Amino acid sequence: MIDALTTVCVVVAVAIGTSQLVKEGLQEFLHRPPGVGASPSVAAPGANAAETPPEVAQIVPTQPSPTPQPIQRRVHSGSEVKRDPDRGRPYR
Amino acid sequence: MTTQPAYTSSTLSDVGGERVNRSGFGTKAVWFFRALLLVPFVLMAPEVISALRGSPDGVANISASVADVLGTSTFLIFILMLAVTPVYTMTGWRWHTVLRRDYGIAMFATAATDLTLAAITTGDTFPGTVLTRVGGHTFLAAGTLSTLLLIPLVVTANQPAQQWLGRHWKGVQRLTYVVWGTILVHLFLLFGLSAIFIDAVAVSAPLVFMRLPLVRRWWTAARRRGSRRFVRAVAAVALVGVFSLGFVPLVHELAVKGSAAFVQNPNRD
Repeated sequence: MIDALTTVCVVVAVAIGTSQLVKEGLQEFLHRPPGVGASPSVAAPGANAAETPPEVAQIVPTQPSPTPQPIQRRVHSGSEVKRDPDRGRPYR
Repeated sequence: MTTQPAYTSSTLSDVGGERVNRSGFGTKAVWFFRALLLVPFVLMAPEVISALRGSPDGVANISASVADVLGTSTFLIFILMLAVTPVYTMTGWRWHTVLRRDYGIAMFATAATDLTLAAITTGDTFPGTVLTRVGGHTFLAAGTLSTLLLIPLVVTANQPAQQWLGRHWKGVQRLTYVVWGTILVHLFLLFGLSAIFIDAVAVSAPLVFMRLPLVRRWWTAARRRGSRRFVRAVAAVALVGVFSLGFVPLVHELAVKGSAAFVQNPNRD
């Protein structure tokens, strides 16, 4: 009687697991959603952007032009450059 | 040490077929440890009441708290239940042996409540049917199996069942060790080799060690003879130390998550 009850309990648990494995697929069955257990939570959009690695184009400094152009001179001598000297060299 | 040191007694009660001497101190201590079993339900009560009253955040709060509060509580109750026999082996105390059955039944009540609330409320984390919420992932299936395996244990946790099953009763109760394994698998699938799983292994290790037949026989014989006191003292300190290394962080986890649940401000991951 107790053995039968134990068997029923095991069969129910295995049946639930197997049905979900068949229904959702192995990948989803093994997957741990974000924020569950040791899986990290989904970061806030702002934090996510801050953690995104910079694109190569942002890291590599622009090559200095051999011949100064009027527009560039105006930008570099402008007030924006004085306020933020690191501008143009992000993520360094 | 003798088997009944300071607790010679005023009252006698029959526990699981064994006659147990219990002093006034023992009775008070037993009721203190029984009262602790209400803690998980008290911690979850505000969120459950709030959800039943139709509060907008009620269900989401339960979803965020249920595993942290009731899951951790279930494991702590289980570990304390498993600690009853090693404490008897080490000290010879018998006043606390009644707690083995009480903690077993309370563990089932807590785990069943956890499973029920999770099945109802965790749709935000595990979208799908009720079956998805109780068995849609490996760790959920292992947790559900652990809870279901408690049913035959709790059904037979009484004297009529013990008399009815006779010698087979002990065999049924050995299912506890299977549950121990499935719980550790559940925690490993959830946390990997990180803190909570390591804590669970740390609290389990001394309890397994004290159950090894060789160790149990040696310790019991040495205690009854009153010999090897220094070796036993050093071993006891080491075992209690390892146990505490796992137990204290788990209690801390319950205190932090439980108090947040009690004030209905759970940490939503």
